[in-house]
Amino acid sequence: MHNRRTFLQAVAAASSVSVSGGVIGMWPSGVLAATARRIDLYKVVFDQGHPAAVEFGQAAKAAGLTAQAIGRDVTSLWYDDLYHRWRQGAAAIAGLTPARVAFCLQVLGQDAGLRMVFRAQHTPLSDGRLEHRLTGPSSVLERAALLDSGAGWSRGAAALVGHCPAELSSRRTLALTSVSATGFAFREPLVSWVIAPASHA
Amino acid sequence: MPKTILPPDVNAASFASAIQEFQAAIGNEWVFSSAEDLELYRDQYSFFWDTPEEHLASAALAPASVEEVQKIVRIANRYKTPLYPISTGRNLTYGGAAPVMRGSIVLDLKRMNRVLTVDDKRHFALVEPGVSYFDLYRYIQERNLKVWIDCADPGWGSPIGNALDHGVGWTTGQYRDHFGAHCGMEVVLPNGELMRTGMGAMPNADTWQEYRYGQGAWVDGLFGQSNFGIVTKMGFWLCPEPESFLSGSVYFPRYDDLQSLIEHVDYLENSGVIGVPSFDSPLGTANPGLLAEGLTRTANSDLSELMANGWPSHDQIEAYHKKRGGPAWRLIVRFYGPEETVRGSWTYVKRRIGGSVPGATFEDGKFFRMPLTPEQQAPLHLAYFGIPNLQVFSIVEPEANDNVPLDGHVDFWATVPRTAEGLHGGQRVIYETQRKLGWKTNFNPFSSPLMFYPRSFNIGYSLPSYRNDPEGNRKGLALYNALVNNLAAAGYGQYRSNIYTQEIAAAQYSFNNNSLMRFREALKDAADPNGIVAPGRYGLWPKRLRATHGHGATKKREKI
Repeated sequence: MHNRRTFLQAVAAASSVSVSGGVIGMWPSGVLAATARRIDLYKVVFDQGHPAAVEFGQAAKAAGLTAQAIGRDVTSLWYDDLYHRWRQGAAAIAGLTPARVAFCLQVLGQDAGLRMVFRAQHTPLSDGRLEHRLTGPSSVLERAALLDSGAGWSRGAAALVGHCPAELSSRRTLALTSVSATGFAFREPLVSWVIAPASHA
Repeated sequence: MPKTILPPDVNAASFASAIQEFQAAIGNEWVFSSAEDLELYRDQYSFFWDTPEEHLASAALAPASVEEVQKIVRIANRYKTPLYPISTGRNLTYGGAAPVMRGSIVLDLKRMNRVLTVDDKRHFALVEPGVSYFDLYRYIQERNLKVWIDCADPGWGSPIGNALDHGVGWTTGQYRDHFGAHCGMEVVLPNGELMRTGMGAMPNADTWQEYRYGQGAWVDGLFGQSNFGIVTKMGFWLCPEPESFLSGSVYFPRYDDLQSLIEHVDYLENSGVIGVPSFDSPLGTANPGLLAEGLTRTANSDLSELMANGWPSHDQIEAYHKKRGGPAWRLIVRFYGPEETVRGSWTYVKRRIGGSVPGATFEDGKFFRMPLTPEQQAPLHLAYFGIPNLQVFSIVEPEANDNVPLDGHVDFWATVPRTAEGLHGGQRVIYETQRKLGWKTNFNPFSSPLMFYPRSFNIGYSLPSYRNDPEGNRKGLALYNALVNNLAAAGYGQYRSNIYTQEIAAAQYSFNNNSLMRFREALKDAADPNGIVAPGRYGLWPKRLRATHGHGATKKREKI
């Protein structure tokens, strides 16, 4: 369970290509450009109480990912599910959730050798627009830049996490703004994220 | 993440040699010094994120056994490299896995994660530091053992780490005080020697987890909130699984009934009639500790008006109550035990309070037979049932000042007397300090405490912390320091402190020219002459570092 170094050294070899390349919504082709190797996502979770997150989950499911609706309490998700899965070995997860849900899973994942390799915080602005602050591999951020449109960012976020490459390049940050915050209004920021074996970071 | 830092008084060559020896002792793979690895040992809620003041580790070590801990300690003595032991490092609002002293080497004990014993006939457990509440609970459930744990909230922490930091829980008085419920320790001393306390000091004794004192001076207290050794095993008393649970609410009609309410609570809890009690006021804002029970915030414009110009007079409070109407206080009592007993106890509470508080009314609460089904568990605050959980992250929402989204929070808990005067006195200090420094405040004459400890009240506050708002962090730390000073001036202390504020909190215990701290320092100098175990923890520094890292340095920070 606590063989952090083992993960640090060996997880790269464990990544595989299993994510469907299905088209998610109406996005520039560059967004969904095939990547040679993607993180093998064990599960995608989304907050069942927020329209943007539900749309994210639907898009992930349509793309062939295992998507699960969750509430804001992740106790059961971890205790009954992820704990057992992670005892078998590091397994990547992704989601669109309130920031604190992502934080809890990030902390729990650390003991299994997992790190948050992609994080995009979506904050509604007072003028109705939606600000995105992204940290992650360059290739994902380059695709994210193409998402900056009036269409729902939730489906775009599903595309990003579903196509997160396995060979992660150096991490960087990016700030974007899209025209509509519909579905993202919430008392704390929603975050789309990927938590994956540490060698990806 | 800033570049690698070094411990004080240790040069790069010496540090590199120490690292090599650590690697030889426990294996290369369990010695962490890269920036990426050390990210895990940062204070996620730090007031000083990414600043030169951030309390960063220089390296981290993850031993798997007591013998490896001993090897590490002996090497550390040779190189004078400070070690900062953590168990799971999850006490996030108090510093998490980060050390008190910048440059310390974190001694991460998560790999020492064996549940060594759970005895459900003699009702105790013996565990290692890396065991979490979740781990211990899972161990008990998988074996169908008939004992409860009393867990911290959230439940991802370690029973040992939580107890050593004087953490608390949610069931009955004798178990909520986690250090008070421990029985027996095994400790690696600063010279690398192994010691067992209590009956553990007697070879072949089978009472290590049953009789805590052994004979002679009892030293266990030295290892709580301190730095006299590295605890590698610890015993805990467990509660036999109760047959049932019952709760009930008592409504007190008058504002001035508060002292009577408190005296009833004291009698009922200290005589063992009730488990953890709680109370709040329908006239005020919600007690964060009760949000899990469905109570919503009740802030209203009348209350805002009442509190707009300073702490209100008694007449103003009465006028506000008259306008709002309804009872002034709600007491929730909880009973654990056989059905006949809990129902009888509730009947007794009704008779006792009903006979002395005119107009008191009663409301039956929830009754459950144990164990709870998953369906029964779903809506409950599970900590009241000894079930570890992460609910607190979905319930309590620390409020940011000026509506700026916060990245973390630093908790502040003052200990005040179990009297109406003590409660209001502490609340008023917090209220006035917040207002003076320009913070909005939710403290008012109807605010209620949490009753973690069975003989005192805790009143608390979560200060927001930010990753990208140094000014917000500066204001937060300034408020924290002002609260410590102002509450201490009124005689109120804290039951635990964040790594950044332990120094100033410790300085408040200054009776007779700091005789308590001077005694601790004398012990520290004798037991840890090289000062390698957790320098600075709760304000206790080894001799060689006192001049540069003691209270004077903290005073300097206080002015930032």
